Amino acid sequence: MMSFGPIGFLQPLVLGALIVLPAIWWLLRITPPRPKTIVFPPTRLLKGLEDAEQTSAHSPWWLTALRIAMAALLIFALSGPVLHPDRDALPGSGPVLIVADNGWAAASGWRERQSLIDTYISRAERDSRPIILMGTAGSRETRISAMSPQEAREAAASLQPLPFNPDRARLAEKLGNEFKGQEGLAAVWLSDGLDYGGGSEFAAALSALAGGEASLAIALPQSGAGTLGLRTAKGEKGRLAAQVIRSGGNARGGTIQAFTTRGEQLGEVAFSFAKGATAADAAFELPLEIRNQIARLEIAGETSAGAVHLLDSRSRWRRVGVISGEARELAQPLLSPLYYVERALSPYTEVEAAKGSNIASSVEELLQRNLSVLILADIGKLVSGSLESIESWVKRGGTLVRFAGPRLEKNGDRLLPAALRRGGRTLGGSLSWSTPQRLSPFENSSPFYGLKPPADVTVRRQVLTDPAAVRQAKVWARLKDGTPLVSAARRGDGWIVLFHITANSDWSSLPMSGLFVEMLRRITERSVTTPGAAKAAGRAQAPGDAAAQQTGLLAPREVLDGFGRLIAPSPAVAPIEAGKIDEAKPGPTRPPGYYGSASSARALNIIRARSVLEPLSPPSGRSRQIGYSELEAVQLKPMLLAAAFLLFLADMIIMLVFSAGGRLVSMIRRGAAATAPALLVLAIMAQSAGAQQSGTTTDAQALEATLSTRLAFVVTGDAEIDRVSLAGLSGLSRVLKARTAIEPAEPVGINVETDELAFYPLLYWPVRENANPLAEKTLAKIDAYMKQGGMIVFDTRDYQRTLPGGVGAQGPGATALSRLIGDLDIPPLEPVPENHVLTKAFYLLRNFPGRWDGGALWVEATPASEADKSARSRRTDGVSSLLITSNDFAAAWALDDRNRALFPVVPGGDIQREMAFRVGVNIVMYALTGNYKADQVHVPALLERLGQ
Amino acid sequence: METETTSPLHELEAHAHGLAARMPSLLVAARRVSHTVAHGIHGRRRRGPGETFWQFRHFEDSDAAESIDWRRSATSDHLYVREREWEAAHTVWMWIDLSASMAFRSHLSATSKMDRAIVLALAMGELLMQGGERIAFMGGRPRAGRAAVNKLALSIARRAGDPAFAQDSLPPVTALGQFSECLLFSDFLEPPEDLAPRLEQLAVQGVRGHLMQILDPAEESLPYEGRTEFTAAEGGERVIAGRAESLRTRFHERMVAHRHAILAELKRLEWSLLVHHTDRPAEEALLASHTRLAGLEHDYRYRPPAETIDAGLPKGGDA
Repeated sequence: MMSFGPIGFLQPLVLGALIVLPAIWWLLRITPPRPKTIVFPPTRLLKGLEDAEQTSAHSPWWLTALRIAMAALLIFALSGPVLHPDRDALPGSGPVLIVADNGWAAASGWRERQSLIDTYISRAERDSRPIILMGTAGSRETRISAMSPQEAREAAASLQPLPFNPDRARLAEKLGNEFKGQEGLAAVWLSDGLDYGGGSEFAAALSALAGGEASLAIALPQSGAGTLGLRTAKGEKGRLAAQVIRSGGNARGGTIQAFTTRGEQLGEVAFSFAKGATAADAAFELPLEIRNQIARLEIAGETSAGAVHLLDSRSRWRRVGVISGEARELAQPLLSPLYYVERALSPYTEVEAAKGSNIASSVEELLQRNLSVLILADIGKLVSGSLESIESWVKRGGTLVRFAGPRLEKNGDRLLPAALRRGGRTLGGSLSWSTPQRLSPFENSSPFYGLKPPADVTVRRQVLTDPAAVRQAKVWARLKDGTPLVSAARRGDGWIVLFHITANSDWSSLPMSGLFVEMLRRITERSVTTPGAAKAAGRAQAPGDAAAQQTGLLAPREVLDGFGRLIAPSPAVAPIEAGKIDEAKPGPTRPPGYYGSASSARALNIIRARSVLEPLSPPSGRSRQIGYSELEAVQLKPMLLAAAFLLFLADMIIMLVFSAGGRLVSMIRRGAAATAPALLVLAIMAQSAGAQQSGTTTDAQALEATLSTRLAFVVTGDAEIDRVSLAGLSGLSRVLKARTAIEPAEPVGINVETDELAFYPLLYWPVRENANPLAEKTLAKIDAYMKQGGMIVFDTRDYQRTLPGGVGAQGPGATALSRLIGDLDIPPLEPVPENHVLTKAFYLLRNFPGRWDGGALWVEATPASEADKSARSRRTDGVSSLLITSNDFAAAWALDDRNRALFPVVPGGDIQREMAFRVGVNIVMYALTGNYKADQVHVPALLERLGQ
Repeated sequence: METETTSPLHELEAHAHGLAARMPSLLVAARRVSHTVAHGIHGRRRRGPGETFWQFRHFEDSDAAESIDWRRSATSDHLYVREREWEAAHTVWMWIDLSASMAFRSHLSATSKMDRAIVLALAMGELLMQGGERIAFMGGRPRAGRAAVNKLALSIARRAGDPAFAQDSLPPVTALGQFSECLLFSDFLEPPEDLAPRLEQLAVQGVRGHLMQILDPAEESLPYEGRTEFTAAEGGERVIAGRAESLRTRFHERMVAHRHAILAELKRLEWSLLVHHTDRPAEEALLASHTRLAGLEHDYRYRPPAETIDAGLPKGGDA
């Protein structure tokens, strides 16, 4: 290697060939260019005249210069020039240690990291040095061993970001032990730019390896492209407040998207950082019912576990109704039975107080408002109408919380966990030996498990359960002497909870303690958000609940991987104790995700309320900082060769012009003269054609499209997708021909922008992930097509890539679809309802599998009003103009020449493929025959009308 | 610069017809009248079959009684016989060089040499036909009248399509009648030593000849520059000139020498030469040859206008 300034040469000896350039110059000078040829009758007379002139002819100087330049470029190219060769160099001569941060923060730039790892592996390979590749977040692979480049590449490919903070200190210790005696070590640390504490110590430890001889390079992400973390908080009035945090850097912005458990996007808010700011707030303004469906927030475009925030039932916003038996005493609020309750609930629920003093009307009014929890303070006996309505609400899933009081003490009704003994119990009164009782610790099975009863909470008076009925109720909290403080019983899907004390401080000091707040919170959190809605789910999950309550452990349910996708937990993931999930820190055995039963799963997130992202400030000194890009030394050889080739082409053209001489010129001239009018004519024709119609379809094409029924698909431009679409539709055509009266011709691919759509009853449209939004004109065309009776089947083909279990984001295809047709006037959609014509157009179907099984098939929602219904049936015969699926139908239908399937179906089996074909048959039948099958239900009525 | 096939013959014929219409009808002033018996309008200054009155003579016994001119005899006592002048047609043979070199046309000229030669030949034929002469393409049969010109055109067309004629750029040796004339259209670029024997063989038949050398202006001025490869139209000779412009003077000297060599031969045969360039109007050449053939010059014989030839560039007209 020899270098001049920033350019080095790999083969400097080749440069010696430059001395032949003058020789080339001389050779080129004496080689004459090709003469122009002229037929000249008196040539005979010229004979003998030319000899004196022959040798003096030579190429023009610029042609010679061009050829010399070509030769020089070739020589330079062969000498292997490299720009910035120093970037390519690895110091030292020993093994190359590559340490990559693979915590959650590394996920968003993971591809860059991998390519940098690959670069270093290539360099080590070039210098024949062994490689050690380690991830700081630790994998199960704890062995440190030198690898060959091939092994290192495999290891690099299997290195994945993990959804928790890296543990650099542990790695430093391990490496320190390992490389004590190593010499000439070259270390590179691909950091994620965050300091989790001890960042500079780690750098110091790395550079101190091999007895302080190791050279260290630290790769840092670009400023402004740093890691983002996301957390949420409950804002005022139930707003969902999100906060994005980062370690600093330039101004930047982005959006936060909110998704339901099924991955439907509910909202999007923008956030922006000022320069240097480390936190940015954003809030979702959504109605309560919709806001409670949000299960997951994520920062758009950031693929890391830290940019995803999972929400659990605790974060839902519930509506709590409160009714007191006493008239509200505004003059003495502190004595009001509900003062403490309201204060305890209002930070995280919406408290609805009864408006009037009429209990019956208050109950009716509140129950209509979709309550989760109803709190009755000291109401002894409910009037009969209210009693029944509350009871039915509880059975549907409502949670009724009652506080005792003088009235209840006297007379209870049946909406109690267990019958009460008449008359209360007073502790520590002036006539009693007993002292006010304290609370005993909560048992495992109690929902309050994990809370610590403060020592200063005492109970002076309580109501007692009738000993005969004591087994009917579960006891959630007890006093030291074992008497129940809070008892509960299940009624239907709901719960009745009784506090054996008053809601104010008359009977105990509990309402004034922080414990009271927590207890109420636990009760509201485990309540059903909307009684009635989750009826089925609630029942199914009951056993799991019970198990959790018995053990007090929350089993992992779904966990995030490093890229923020929800996956099934691996066996290594340990359950978390129910009481400790709030304090739990994500780690190798405890990745972020959902823990616990489905109905009351708790979310564990990486970014917590008090998390701070600290920027990594690498120590100055012996380490060297590098960026993730611009690391490569630039090989100039291909560029020089290309330039030489271009010069060669130019030379060829010049020679061609020389030899053809004036003939070429005149040919061009004549050609131009001839083509100009032709071009003019063409232009005029094109213009007139454009003025006539936007769909430029010739008659031949139109005839071909209409003489026989054809299935059509939209050409996406991606050759693979188009091939699958064609194979799929032709497979479906074969099935249709064999089984039904439809005999379609070969399917055609059409270009939505230019081709006429009106000929095709059904358009299969596979959505490319990187599909661009359609032009205004095209959208109008598609809109017209759909409104005039056409049917489009959009296939996002991404069911397997949406998150397992349906929680979280939409797949990439769905995002592309919304980008593609977001501006279209799309009617409201719904998954195919029961008894929809699609389920019985030819075959009776229950679900609609394609290559994947599980994605829903969306159709236009059935209009609610009769007027809309008839309008639609007039227009399109009641046929949905739009079907959206994510199951990749075409791949399931694709058959080869010998009717063998081209793609496997997942989860698989012949039955699924058969079902996929049946889906196809049904869709085509539906498109072609409309609501014919729906009419079948009217047949008896029609026959009756005809008098038969 | 560029060779092209000749234009369709009918176009040339029309052109020739137009040219001839503008010329006075040509009567070849035959100095030596041939003794052909063919009927013509050249008076032989002796009695014979004809229409023009020649003389009255006394009746002789050998005369047939029908030959007596009774009107003249009635005015005297003798019998008279009316004798008429013997009128004969002159024969003009034409030949056009139809070889490939004649197809040459440079950028300086609008027509090829062959086109011009055919036009001139047909126009001359037209004029001669109007004058009552008999014309024929060399090797054909002489004819008079309107059909003669058509026949001439047909002969040209037939020979132009015949590859045998495309090779030969020298006049053929055929039997021509004594005292007839021949008009030869060519570029006469063959070596004079090849041309001379042919001309001599024609001349010994007692034929008077006129040569019309038709040249492209480029063949005089060599208007080419730079590195150029010259290829002969026939024979495949080629010359590569490094700088064509440098050859110009010496080429011109050679051209003049070549013409002088031809002239020297013609002078011996007492034939004439006209040089015509295709960038000049055809009328110019037609008028010159018409004048030459009609004997309007006192002496039909060729007198070398030495000063014009030496000046090097005779423009049209006679040389």
